[in-house]
Amino acid sequence: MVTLAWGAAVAAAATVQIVVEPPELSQGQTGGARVLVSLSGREHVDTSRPPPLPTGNGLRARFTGQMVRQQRVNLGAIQRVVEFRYDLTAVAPGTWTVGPVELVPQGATVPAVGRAVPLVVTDRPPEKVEEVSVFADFLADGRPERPTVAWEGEVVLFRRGIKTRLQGLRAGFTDPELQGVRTLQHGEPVESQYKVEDATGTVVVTETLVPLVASGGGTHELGVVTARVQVPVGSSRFGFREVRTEIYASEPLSIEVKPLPPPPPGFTGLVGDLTVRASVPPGPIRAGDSVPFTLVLSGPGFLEGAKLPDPVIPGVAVYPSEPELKAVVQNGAFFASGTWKWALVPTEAGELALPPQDLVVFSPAKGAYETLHVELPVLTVQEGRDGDGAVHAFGNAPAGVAVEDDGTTPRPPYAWGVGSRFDLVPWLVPAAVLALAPALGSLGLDGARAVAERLRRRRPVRVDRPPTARELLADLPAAPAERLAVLDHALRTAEVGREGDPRFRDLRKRLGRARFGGGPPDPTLEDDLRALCEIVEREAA
Amino acid sequence: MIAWLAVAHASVADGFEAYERGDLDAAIAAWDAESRSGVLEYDLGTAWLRKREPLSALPHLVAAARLRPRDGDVFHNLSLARLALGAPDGPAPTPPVEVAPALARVVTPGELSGLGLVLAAVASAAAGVRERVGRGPVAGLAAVALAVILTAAWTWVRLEGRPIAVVVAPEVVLRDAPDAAAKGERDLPPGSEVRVLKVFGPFALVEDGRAHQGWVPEDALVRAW
Repeated sequence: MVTLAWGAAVAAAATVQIVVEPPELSQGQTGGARVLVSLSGREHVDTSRPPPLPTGNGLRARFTGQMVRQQRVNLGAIQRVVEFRYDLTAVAPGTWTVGPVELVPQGATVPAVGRAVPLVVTDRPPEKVEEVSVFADFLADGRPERPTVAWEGEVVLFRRGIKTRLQGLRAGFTDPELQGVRTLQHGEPVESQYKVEDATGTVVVTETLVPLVASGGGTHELGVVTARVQVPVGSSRFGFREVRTEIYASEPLSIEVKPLPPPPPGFTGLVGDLTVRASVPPGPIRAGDSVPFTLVLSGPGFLEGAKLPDPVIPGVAVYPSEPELKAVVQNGAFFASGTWKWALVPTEAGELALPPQDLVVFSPAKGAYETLHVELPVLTVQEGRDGDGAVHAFGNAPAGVAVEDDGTTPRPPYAWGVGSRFDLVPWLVPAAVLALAPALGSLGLDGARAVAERLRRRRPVRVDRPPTARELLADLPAAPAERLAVLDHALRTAEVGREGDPRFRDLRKRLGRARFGGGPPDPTLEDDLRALCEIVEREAA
Repeated sequence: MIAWLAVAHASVADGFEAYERGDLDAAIAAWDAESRSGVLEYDLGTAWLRKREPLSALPHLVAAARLRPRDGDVFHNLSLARLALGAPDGPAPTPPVEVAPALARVVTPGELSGLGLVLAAVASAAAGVRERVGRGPVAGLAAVALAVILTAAWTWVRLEGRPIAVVVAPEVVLRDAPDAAAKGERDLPPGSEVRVLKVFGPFALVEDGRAHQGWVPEDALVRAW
């Protein structure tokens, strides 16, 4: 019994199988892979999230679709098979594994594991290797190293591009997830193209430099950069450009990010090979006047978010402002500059010796901390003067803003105004109906009138026709004279087209006698006339 | 109407008097009405800002920005509140979600409604003399009025259907399901302005300024409207 139950449990467990077709690809070719998940009973898998298909650096997997089918297994049981499909693109030669895939179906207690399947990627044909190659690496301080070693906080340049001897080639790149580095707010990527001449011809190199800052400590294996390259193969009969698409990959990319050594006191957090320059306008100044003190840091370094300490000068009020940062990638190197400004306001007259400024930064080139030193001049401060009421403002506030409102003071509240809210919108429908009713009503009325008039004009014209003999006989007046006159009218109407018919001639004589002869009454005249009319109509029909 | 206006003005004036005395708590109590106008929302936000409590000020100032979209003072104080919440010693709030539709950043649905009703009234008045002015102008005016009214209603439905709220709890995690045990996707620091898309039990589905969606406890939010 126990054995049977165990057997049933085993039979009900989900299974995962990985199928790779074909088992061998040439570099640049694309094959397929399927992950088959067999489910039974009440087990389910989340089909909205296809399982990730692990591959080595030499393969690139892309999910393409899925399907569910049912199949009958032993003893008539129904088994559902969920099939996830992937495209596998061979990007680097070698023997790579596809999988394993581990799934825990809903309703199951143990995970189902699909075993990894090998896939062999052979070299690209030599003539194609010569055609195109993709490269990717990191440049630290303008020098390529492989693997690149960077200090935490150091700016590195991510360089990737393509070299080709073909003309009219187009390429789209797919970068790996760049772990251990992050993008900068300042400093745009730069793309450039140049040509290299050698004995066999011209090589066109297109490369992109992206400034990044090393942020995560440790060694990061990032994978390869792949390029989807459209190689022109001629023109179609209609003149359109025809291409063949190939996939190329770079060498595997990695970066090692080393943590900074323990910082000395006064470390500003700045990392880079920087230089410092400071300026203060010469000449005597008066107590109470402001003197701009500017400090500029420049060089290949990471300045974003840096907070320089405010200079501490006895007898001087110091007002900082926001720094201005700029960065650019130029001539294959990263260069940043930051300008910090303070407004110095001496409060006493006399000789004012501005103390030298020391900034502790970390130099990646030296691999050590260094102190940037800048000497400042001695200022002569004269006695202050009576003010004329004008106020000198500092900072980024627009001109004309009063000093009391330095931009950081909340505007005052309103002393009056409507306190509670009357929301008109919920009443909008009835109000709109009321407001629009006269306009739409009158326009609608006019429209209805116009339509009615048009319809009336379109009604077909009624043409009056003379009554037929049958209609005349159906509505005979009671007065004898009029009755005889209508009978005469009916007889003439029925006779039209039958002139000379003896039946009509006989009836006309009898009717003449009744109307004008004054003879005995003719009681069958009407009936005979009706009968003749019917006969004539039948004959006409 | 006159009595209503008198009462409505009185609450603003009372609070302002207390504010001028420096009694911020009394001012907040006077302004804390049930259905607040844009003026009251702004005054309340300003009072909380003066108390150096930007987290309490933010929902009022966001609401004031919706009700007074062209008021520079409102946006000045709103920027100060956001700036104060982005202090360097704590996690910065996510960027605020944009008020949608964009038309609501220029004009309120109430103002549009008023404009539409005035145009409708003018069209109705012109309909009385349509024989003289012609039916074309009357019909055109009525069509414009109808379009403005429909636009106002659409803007109002969009705003009311997807209100904006401010995260006020200290540790709020955006989860992938309305369950405290669900997987946490990312943190929402206090002061993050989010759009409420749906409410399910004690949880609300929200979208932050980076278009990330997830579920958070509803009591961690204060609705701006």
